[in-house]
Amino acid sequence: MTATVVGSRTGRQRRLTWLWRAVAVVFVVFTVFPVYWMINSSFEPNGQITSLTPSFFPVHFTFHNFVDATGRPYFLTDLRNSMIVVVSTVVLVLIVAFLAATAVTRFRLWGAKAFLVMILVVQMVPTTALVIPLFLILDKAKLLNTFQGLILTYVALTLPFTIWVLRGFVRGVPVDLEEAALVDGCTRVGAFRRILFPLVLPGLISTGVFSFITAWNDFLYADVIMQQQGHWTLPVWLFGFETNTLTDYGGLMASCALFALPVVVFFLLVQRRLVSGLTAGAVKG
Amino acid sequence: MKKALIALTAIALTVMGLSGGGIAASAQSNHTAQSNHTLTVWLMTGEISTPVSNAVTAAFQKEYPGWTVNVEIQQWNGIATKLITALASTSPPDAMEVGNTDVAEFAASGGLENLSSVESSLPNSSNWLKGLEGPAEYNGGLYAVPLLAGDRVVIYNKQMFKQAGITEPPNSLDQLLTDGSALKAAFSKVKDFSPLYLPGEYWYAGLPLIWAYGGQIAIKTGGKWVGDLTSPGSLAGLKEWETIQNFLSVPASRDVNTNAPDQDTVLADGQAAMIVGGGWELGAITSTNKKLTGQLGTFVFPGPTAGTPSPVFIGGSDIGIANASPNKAEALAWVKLMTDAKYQIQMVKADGLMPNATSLLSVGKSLPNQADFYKAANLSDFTPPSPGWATVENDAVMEALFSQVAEGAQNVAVIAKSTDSRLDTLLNAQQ
Amino acid sequence: MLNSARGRTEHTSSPAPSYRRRPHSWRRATRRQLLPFVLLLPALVMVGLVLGYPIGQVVATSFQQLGVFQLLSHQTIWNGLSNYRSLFSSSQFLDVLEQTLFFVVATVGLTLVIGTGVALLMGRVGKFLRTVVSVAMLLAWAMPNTAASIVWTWLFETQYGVINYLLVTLGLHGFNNHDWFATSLSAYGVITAMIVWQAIPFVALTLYAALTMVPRELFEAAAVDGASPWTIFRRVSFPIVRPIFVLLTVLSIIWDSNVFNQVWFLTSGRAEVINVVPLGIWQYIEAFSSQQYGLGAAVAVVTVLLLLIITGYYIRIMVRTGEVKA
Repeated sequence: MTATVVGSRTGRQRRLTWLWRAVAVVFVVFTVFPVYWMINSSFEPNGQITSLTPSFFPVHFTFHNFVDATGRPYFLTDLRNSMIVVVSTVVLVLIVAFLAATAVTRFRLWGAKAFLVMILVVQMVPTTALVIPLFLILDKAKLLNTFQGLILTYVALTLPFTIWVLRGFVRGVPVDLEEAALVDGCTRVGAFRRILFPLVLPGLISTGVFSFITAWNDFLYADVIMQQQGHWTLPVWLFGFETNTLTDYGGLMASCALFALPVVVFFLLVQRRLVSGLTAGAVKG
Repeated sequence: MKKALIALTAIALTVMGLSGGGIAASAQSNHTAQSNHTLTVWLMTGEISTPVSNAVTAAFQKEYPGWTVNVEIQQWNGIATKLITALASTSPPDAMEVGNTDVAEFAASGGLENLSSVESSLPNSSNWLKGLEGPAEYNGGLYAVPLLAGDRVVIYNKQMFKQAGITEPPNSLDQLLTDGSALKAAFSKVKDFSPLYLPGEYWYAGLPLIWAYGGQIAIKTGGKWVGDLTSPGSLAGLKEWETIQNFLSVPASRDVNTNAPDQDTVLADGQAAMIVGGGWELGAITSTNKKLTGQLGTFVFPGPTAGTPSPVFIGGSDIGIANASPNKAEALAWVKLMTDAKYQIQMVKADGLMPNATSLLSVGKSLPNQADFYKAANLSDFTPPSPGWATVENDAVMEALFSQVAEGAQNVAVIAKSTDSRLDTLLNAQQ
Repeated sequence: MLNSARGRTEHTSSPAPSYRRRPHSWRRATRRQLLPFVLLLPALVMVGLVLGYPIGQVVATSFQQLGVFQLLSHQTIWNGLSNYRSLFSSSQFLDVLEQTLFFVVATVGLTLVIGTGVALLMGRVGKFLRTVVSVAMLLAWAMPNTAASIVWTWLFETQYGVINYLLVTLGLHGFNNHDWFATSLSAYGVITAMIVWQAIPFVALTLYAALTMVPRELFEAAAVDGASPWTIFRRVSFPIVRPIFVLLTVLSIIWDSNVFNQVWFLTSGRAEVINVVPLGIWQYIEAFSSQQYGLGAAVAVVTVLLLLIITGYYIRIMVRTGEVKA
C-alpha cells in the first residue's frame, strides 16, 4: 500500500525497507513458534513429545496421531456440527450487526446511543457468570441440546462488539458516496448494497474472523448446552483426549492442528478482501 | 441520549425485577416430563467401555422390551457444572456416574433420588467398599450406588532394582529409604534421577502416610467436622511425607502434580525407578517405552511397621438417579444390573477397573499384574464424606498441604494448623 | 472523520458526519423512523432476549444465597447485600483488584503498542511478507486458547520445557530447571506473554483494515511535503483510525479484565496457591469452587461496575457525535 507509493529510491529508504523486513521476520518467528511446536508434536509419537530433550524436528515422524485422532468416535459428526453452528453464527452475526451498525450510524434513531452503551455493558459481564442462567433460559425455551440454541447463544455473545466495530467502519465511509448514488437513482437499499457494503468489507472480514474463531473455539457453552455426543462441537470432542489420569498429547496436538485448519483456510480465502476498495480510487468528488 | 438511557435502563430494571424470581424458581418448570421409553445414562470417559455397557443394556431390554437406552459418555473437564445444570434442567439424564469424592455434594443437594428404601435389594449392598459407600450417604439416606473403584500402588522398574542389588520390594518405610539409597548409588550418573518420583502435590500418595500413622484428615464430632491434621498421628505422617519426598524425589518435583511432567514418562524415560500409580498407568508406561514390557513390577506402598502396608486411598465412582427423572424405576433396574456381580466382573476383566464390593475382590487373583492393587484394597480409607469436600478439591487444599510440607519453607505443624482451619470452614459450609 | 486532515489538502472530497448536513433525501429518512428501527430490530431481539434475561438473573442472584442445594430444590433465598458485604470485607478483594489493574495495564498496553506496530509494518512490506505476517498471526489467533495453554505450559515446563532448554543452550545456566511458575510475578509474565500473543492478531488486522481506508492521496501529499513516516502516522493515519483505536482499547480492557481460561490452565489450577488471582479467576473461585452462585454473581456485578467506571469516559466520547477528542 504505502511502501510502493513512497518508494525505495533513496538509500535510507532502502535500508528502512530491509529493517522492516527483518522486524517482520523476527515477529513471524516468535508468533509462529508455539504453533510450530504444536505441529511438530503432532507428528511425533507420545514418548518423544514428553521426553527430556526436546526435538525440533520430528525425528520419529509418524502419522499415527492423526489417524488416531480422526478415528476417534464422533470426529466427523462433531466436525460437521461445528461447521454448521459456526457458519450459521458468522453469517447471522454479520448480517444483523451490519444492519444494526447502519441503523445507529446513518439515521437519527432515538435511543441508538443508549442501545450502543447497553450492549457494551453486556460485553462486560464475565461469561462464566452467564452460563447457568443462559442454560436455564434455553431449557425453558426447549432449545437445549439443539443447534438453534447454541447458534443463538454465540450470535448473542458476539453481536455487541461486532456492532461496535462495524459502526466504526460505517462511520468511516463518507455519506456523500451514498448520497451521490441516491441522486443517481439508486434506492436506499441499493445504496447500502452497492456503496456501503463493499467499503465496509474489511471491517466485515475482521469481525467475521473474530466471530468464527470465538464460536469455533468455545468449549464452555457447547459443553453445557449440548448434552449428547452426537451433538457436540469439536472443542468438546477435543477434550476427550484428556481422561482423568492420562493425556494423549500426540492425539491432542494432532486434533488441535486439524482443528485450526478450517479457520486458516477461511482466512486465506478472505484475507485479500481485507484491503478496502477505497484506496483503489473509487472515490468520486 | 440521557433521556433515552434512563428510559431504557428503567425498562431493563423492570425486566430484571420481573425475572428476579430467581434462578432457582425459574428452574422450577413443571416436572411432568413425559417418558418416551428412552433411558439416558451418563458415564464418564475412559472407564466403563461400550461392550460392557451394551451387555448391561441388552439384559435391561429383556426386562423392559421396547425401551431404548442412550449411554452418553461425558468428559471430566467441567463435569461438575454439567451435572449441576443437568440436574437443574427439565430433562436431566435418568442415571449419572459421579466421582466418589464429588458425590457427597450431590447427595446433599436434593438432586438425586433417595435409595434407602431399596438399599437392601441392591446387589452386594452389605459389603460395598466403604470408600464408595460413605460419600453417597447423607443424613441417613443413600443417594447413589457404588459403581467402580481404583487404587494406587508402587510401580517399579525390575531391571533397575536388579542393578541396584535389591532382591525384593521393601515392606517398610525404612526399607524403602534404604533401597532408595542403593538406587541413588547405582544411578548416580543419570541426571535428575529420582529413586521414587513423588510429585509434591500428589495427595493420593500422601494421604496413606497420614492414615498409616493413625491420623485423619478430619473427624466428625457432634455433627461438626473438625480438621485433624494437627493430631500426633497426622503430624507424624506429614513429617514422614517430607522425609520420603525430599530424599527419594528430585527437588523440582516438590510443587508439581503427576501431570507436569507426566510421571509415567518420567519412569518410562529412566528418570526414576519407582512411581506411585494406578493400574491404568502400566499400559501407558509400556506404550511410551516398549522396552519396559514385562519389566514392570508392583508392590503395595509400605507402612512404618514391617509387613503392614499403608492404607490405600480408594478412588472411584458411584451412580445416582436423578430426582426429576420420569423413569426412576427403569433407571434403578439398569443400575441394579450394572452393579450386579456378573457385569461387575465383566467390567473388571474388560476395563481394568476394580469392582464395588469386597466380596468381589477375589476376581483380582485371576488378573495378571493386578494382584497388588487388589491386595492394597483390603486396607483402605477415604476422604471425609462431607458435601463441602467438593470445595476442598476445587480449591486444591490437599495439593497445597502436601506440596508445602515437601517444600519445607514452613514448619509442618504450622502448615497443618492453617490447613485445619480451612477444612473447618469448608467442610462445615452451609450448602 | 477526515476533518483533521482536511486542512492539509484540497484533494479529498468533503465528507461530513451525517448530522452536520442533512440534504432532502436524509430529511425524508428521519421522518420515516420505521426503516432504522427495522434494521435495528434483529440485534435488539437477539441480544435482549438471549442475554437480557440471563443478565437480569445475574443481578438478581447477586442478592440471593444460591448454592447447589437451593438450585436443585428450587428455593429462592434473598439475603440482601450480604454477598456484597462478604466480598468487600474479604481480605482478597483489594489484592485481586491490584493484581487485575497491573495485569490489564500490561496486557492491554503491550497488545496495543505491538499491534499498532504490526499494522503499520504490514503497510510497509511487500505483499508476500504481508501475507506471511497475517497468516502467522492468524495461526496464533486461531489456536483454541485451551490448546495454546497446554503448549505454553510445555514450553515453560520446569524440567522438560523447551524454553529452559534453549536458554541453557545459549549459556544461561541459571535457567536449568527454572520454575517459571514459582512466583506470582514470573507466572504473570508468562501469562501476559501468552495473552498478548493471541490478542495482537485481532488488533493488528483490524487496525490494518482501518488504515487501508485512509485515502492514498493523503499519504502521497504528506510524503511530497517531506513528512517522515512517524509524522505521517501521527498527523495523518492516527487521527483517522483513532475511533477504532479507542474502541479496541476499551474492548481489550474489558476482555483482559475478565480473562479466565489461560490463567487457569497455565497455573494448572494452582492459581490461589501462588496468588495469581485476577478478577476472572476470583469470579470463578467464588462461584464454582464453593458452588456459591450468589457470591459469583456479586463478583460479576462488581466487575461490570468497575469496568464502567474505568472506561466510562471513553465510552461517552465514542457515542457522542463527532470525533473522539481523547
